[in-house]
Amino acid sequence: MSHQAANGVPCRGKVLTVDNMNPRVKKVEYAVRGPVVQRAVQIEKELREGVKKPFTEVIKANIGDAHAMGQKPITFFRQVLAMCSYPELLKDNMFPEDAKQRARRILEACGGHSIGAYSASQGIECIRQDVARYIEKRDGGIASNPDNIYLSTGASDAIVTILKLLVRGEGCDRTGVMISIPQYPLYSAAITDLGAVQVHYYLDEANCWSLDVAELRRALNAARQHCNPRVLCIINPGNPTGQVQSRQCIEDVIRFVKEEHLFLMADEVYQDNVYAEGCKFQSFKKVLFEMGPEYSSTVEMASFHSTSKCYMGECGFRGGYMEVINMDPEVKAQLTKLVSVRLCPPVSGQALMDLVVNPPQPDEPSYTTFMKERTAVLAELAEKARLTEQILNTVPGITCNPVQGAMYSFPRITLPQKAIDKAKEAGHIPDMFYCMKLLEEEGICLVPGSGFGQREGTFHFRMTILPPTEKLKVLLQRLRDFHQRFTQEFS
Amino acid sequence: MSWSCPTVKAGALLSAVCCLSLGQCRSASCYSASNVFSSRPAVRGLSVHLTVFMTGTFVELTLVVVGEPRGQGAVSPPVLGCGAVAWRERWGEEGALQVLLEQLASDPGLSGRDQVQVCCIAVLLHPVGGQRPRLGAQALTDHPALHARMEAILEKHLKKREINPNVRNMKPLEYSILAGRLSQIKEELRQGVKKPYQEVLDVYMGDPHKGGVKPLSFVRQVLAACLYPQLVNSSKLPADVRQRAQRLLGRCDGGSVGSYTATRGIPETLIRVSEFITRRDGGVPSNPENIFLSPGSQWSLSILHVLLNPESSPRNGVLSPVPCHNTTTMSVTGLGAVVVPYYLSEEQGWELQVEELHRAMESAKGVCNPIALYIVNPGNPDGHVQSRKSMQEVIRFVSERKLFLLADEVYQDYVFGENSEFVSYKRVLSEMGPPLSDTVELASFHSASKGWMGECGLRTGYMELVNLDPAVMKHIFTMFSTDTCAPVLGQIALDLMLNPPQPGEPSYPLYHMETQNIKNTLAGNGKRAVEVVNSLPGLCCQPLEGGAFAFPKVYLPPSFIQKAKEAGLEPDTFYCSRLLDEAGLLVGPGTEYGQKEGTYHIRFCILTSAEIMEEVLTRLTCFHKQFMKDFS
Repeated sequence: MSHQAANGVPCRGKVLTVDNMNPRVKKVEYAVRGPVVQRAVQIEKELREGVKKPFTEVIKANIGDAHAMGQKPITFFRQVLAMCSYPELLKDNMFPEDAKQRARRILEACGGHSIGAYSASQGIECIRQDVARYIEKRDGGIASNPDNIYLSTGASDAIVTILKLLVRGEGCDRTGVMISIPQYPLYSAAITDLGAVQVHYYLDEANCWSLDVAELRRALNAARQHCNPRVLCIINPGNPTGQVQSRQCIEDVIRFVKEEHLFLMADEVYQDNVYAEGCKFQSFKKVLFEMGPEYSSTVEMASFHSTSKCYMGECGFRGGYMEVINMDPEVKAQLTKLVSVRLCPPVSGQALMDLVVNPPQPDEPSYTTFMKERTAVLAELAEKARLTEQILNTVPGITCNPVQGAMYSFPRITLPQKAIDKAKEAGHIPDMFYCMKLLEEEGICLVPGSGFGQREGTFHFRMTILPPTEKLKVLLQRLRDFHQRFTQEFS
Repeated sequence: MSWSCPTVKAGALLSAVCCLSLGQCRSASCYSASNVFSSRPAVRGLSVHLTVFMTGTFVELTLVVVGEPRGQGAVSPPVLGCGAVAWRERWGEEGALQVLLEQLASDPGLSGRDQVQVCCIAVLLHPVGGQRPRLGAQALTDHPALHARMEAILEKHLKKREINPNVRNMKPLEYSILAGRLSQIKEELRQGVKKPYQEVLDVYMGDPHKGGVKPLSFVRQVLAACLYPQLVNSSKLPADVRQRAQRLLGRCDGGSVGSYTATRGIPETLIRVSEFITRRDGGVPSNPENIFLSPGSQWSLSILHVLLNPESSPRNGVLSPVPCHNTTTMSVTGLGAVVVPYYLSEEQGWELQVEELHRAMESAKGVCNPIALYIVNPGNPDGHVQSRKSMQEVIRFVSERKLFLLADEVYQDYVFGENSEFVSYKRVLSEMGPPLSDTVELASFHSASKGWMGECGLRTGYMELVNLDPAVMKHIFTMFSTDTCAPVLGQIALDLMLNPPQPGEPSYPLYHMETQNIKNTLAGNGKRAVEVVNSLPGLCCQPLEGGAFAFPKVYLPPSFIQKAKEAGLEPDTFYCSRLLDEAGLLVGPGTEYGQKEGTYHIRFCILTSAEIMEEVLTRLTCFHKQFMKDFS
C-alpha cells in the first residue's frame, strides 16, 4: 500500500503486514509463555518500581524451570563444565579427579579442544556413543546404535525437526498429527506452524489421565475423513497431566501404531520423574523390542530426552537428544541434511548431556555427592507431588489427580456460572479469566487449562510442583483462599 | 505388469522366493521374479515382480505380497507387506530377505492353511529424474477389491516414507560427501595407515577455535565462574571476572545459568546489545524491544518463516547472492520459497552491482514473487566489504521494489582491507533520513560465533528488527517463544563480546593483547592467503577486504572435469576430495556456495592461527602443483 508522502517522494507501506504474513504463524499460540506470563513479568517490574500490591513477589509456577525455583545444580556437572569452559582449571587441585577426566575426554572430542568450535550437526560422536550406551543400560541391554542418535537444542528442537520432516500433503492428504488433550502446547504450535492438522485424542481424567486405545482409534477414524494421520505423539510421563503409562498401555499403543502404520513420537523427557508407588518408567523402545521382531523391526519411532528436566533441571543449556528407530536410511539422510541447516546444537549442552548419560560411577570420587544430590532432588519432588495433590483436593471445587510423575499438576476447577458469563462478556476464556485474577490478587502465575486443551465445559490450570516446599505450601494456601473467595464472589 | 491367482502351497511360494539370487539382484536395476520362476515348473503361473532399485550408494529392495486365503472363515485377505529397507539397515540385504521370509512363513494366512490363493503384486519403483522413486500401482486397477487393499498397503508400508517435499528439495550438502571421506581418513590414520600427513587440517567452516585460535581468557573465565559459582569467591580468577560473573548470575532466575531466560533473551543483555548497536552506529538509537537472541544466526533467520507465506501463489522468493554460504539458501528452500540468485561480480572484487539486482528481479517474473533481499556483508565466502554508496543503492532498490531487507552482518569485526570499513545497514538507513529511514524494513544479524571470541559452539546470535509493524512483532514474539530461549552460556558470551573489559580493569591488558593478536593474525593470514594462492598457476583470488574466508577461483582442466563426471561428482568437489585424500586438507567446493556456470572455486577459513594458515597454504601449494602437472 504505497502512498505519496507530503513532499512528493514516493513512500511505501510495510512489506510485512498482518495481512500478508505467513498465515500459519499468525495462528500459533504458546500458552506456557502466553498472556498470563507476560502480565506476570509486567507485575514483577511494577513491584520493583515500588507499586503497592497485595503481595511482595510473584510466584511463577507456570514453567518447568527448576533452577529458577531455587533448585541447586548438580555439583559434578558444573565442575566438569567449568573446566571445559576454562581448561586452565584442570591444572588446579580444587576439582576431583573423575571430574577432570570427564572434562579432558569431552575437550578431546571437540574441534581445537574447545567447546567453542562447531561440532558435527548430528552431535559429537563420542557423546552419541555415550548416549547409546546409556539407552542400552536403561533398557536392559537392548542395542542402541550411535548413528541413530541426534543431539539437539533441547528436546523441543528435535520434536519440531521430526515434525518438519514428516509433514506434507495438501487438502485431505495433509498430514494429521495425533496429540493428546490436554497436551503440551509446543506440539500444537509446531503443527499449526507447519500447516499440518491436529488430531486430538482425549486422556481419561476420571482414570488418572490414562490413555485408552479405543479413544485413539476413535480419533484416528474421525480424522481420516479430512486428513491423513501419519504421526502419533505420546508424552510419558505426561505433561501437563503427570500420569505414568503402564506397560500394558504402552504395548497397546505400539500395537495400534503398527496396525495403523503411524510414526510414533515418544516424548520421554521426564523419564526420571516418577513418584507414585507402583509406577515405573518404561521406555517405548524397551517395550517395543520386548514385543518381538514383528514389532521391533517395523515400528518407526523417535524418542526424545533433554537436560532440562529430571533431577538436573538444566534448562538454560538447551541440551537434548533423540533416538530414531527403524527409520528408512534414505529418510535418515534427509533428516541429517535438515539438522545441518542450523550447523550444530550448543556444544555446552552436548557436554552436559554427556554427563547426564554418563554420571559418576560407584568407584569414582564424585559418586557419593552426586547420588546424594540426585536422590535429594527426586525425593523432594516426590514429596511436593504428594503435597500438591493432597492440599488441592481439600479445596471445595478443585479436584486433582495424583501427580504420578513429571513436574506438574493439572487440577480441574469448578467455576460458577456467573464467573463464566462475566469472563465471556469480557471476551476471555473462563480459566484465563481465573488465572489472571489469581495473578493480580495473589501474585501466583499459573497457566490456564485452555492453553493445553480440555474437554468442552471443563476448566483446569497447570501448576508446577517445583517451588521449594515452604513456598509451595504458601502458594497452595493462597490458591485455596483465592478459590474460595472467587467462588463466593461469583455465586 | 500382470498378476494371477494360482493355487500353490505356502511352502512352494517360500522356496520360490528363496531361489532369488541376491547376487543377481545386486546387478540388476529391475528384476522380474517371474523370470526366475519360469525355470521352475512347480510354481509356473505365479507372478512375482521384484524390483531392485539402485540409488547411488545403496540398493532398495521392496517386495509386497498379498495372499488371499480360500475357504470358509476367510473374511478379508491377510496381508503380508514388507518394507525390506528398514531391515536391510539392521541386518544387511540377506538378513532383510530372511526377515521377509520369516514373516511370510509365520503369517497365519499362509502357514496355517494348506491351500492359499496367492496373488503376488509388485511395487514398482520408478526412478524419476534423480528424485526418489515413485510408487506405481496402476496395474492393479483390474482387481478393484485388491486395489483398495493394495493402496492401503502402499500407504502403510511405503508412502509414509514420503517426507516433506520442501525438506527433500533442500540442496544436499557437498560437505556430506567430503565428511564421509574425512571420517574414513581419520580412522585410517588412527589405525596407523601411512599417509603424507599425520592429521587432517579442517578449514571448511568459519571456525576459529578448530583452526587453532585460542578462546579469549576473559570470556572463558567469566563463563567458568557462572557455571561454578564457588569460583566467584575464589582468588583464582581476576577480580573483574568475578564481579562480572556475579552480576551476570544476578540476572539469571534463581542465580543459575541452568534456568530459562525470557523469550527474547536476558532483559539486561538485550539492553547491552542495544547500547552496543547505538555506539557502533554513531548514536543511532536502538530499542531493546526489537532485539531477539537466538541459538545462532541461522535460527534468527526463522524471521523468513514469518515473511514467507507457504500458501501464496505464485510462491514467495528471496533474492540471495551467489556465492553465498549454503545454510541460508537451504532455509529458504526448506520453507517452500524460491531462491532468486543475484551474482556478485568476481572481476570487481565480488562487488554487489545494483543493475544485477534489477536483472534478478526481472528473472523472477512468472516464477515467484520476491519479497526479501538477503545480503551478506562482509561477504561470506567472498570477503568483499560493501561501500556506503553501494549500501545506499541497495536501500533505494529495496524501497522501490518493496522488499524486506535481511542483512547478515556477522563478520562485522573482520574487516582488514586497507580502505575498507564496516558500516551497518541500520546506520546507513538512518543517515539517509525519512522517508526511507522510517519505512524500509530491516532485520540485521550478528553472532557470538564471530567477533574476536569466535564462540561458535555456544550457539548464540541476535537479530535486530527495524521498522516492523507492531502487529507483526507480536506474532514474531510468539513464534520465538516456542523455541523457549537461546542457550544461556551463549547469551552471556554475547554480553561479554559486546561489553569487553575496559582500560583500567585487571583483565584489560590480557584481553587487549589476545584480541590484537587475533586481529593481526587475521589480517596477516588474509594477505598471505591471497599472495600464495595467486602465485599458483590456475588459482586466482580477489583481494580480501574482510570476512573469514578466501574464495579463489580454480581453473580445472577438461580432462579433470571429465574424470569428475565419471566419478559422479561436481568438478570442484572432486578437486576438494583429492586435496583431502592426498594432502589431508579439507576445504569447501564452490558448488556448495554457488558460482557462475563453468567457473570453479574453493573456500577456506583464514581465521586460524598463523602456523595453521602456513600449513594450509603449504599443503594447498604442494597438492596444486602436482595436480597441474598431472592434468596438463
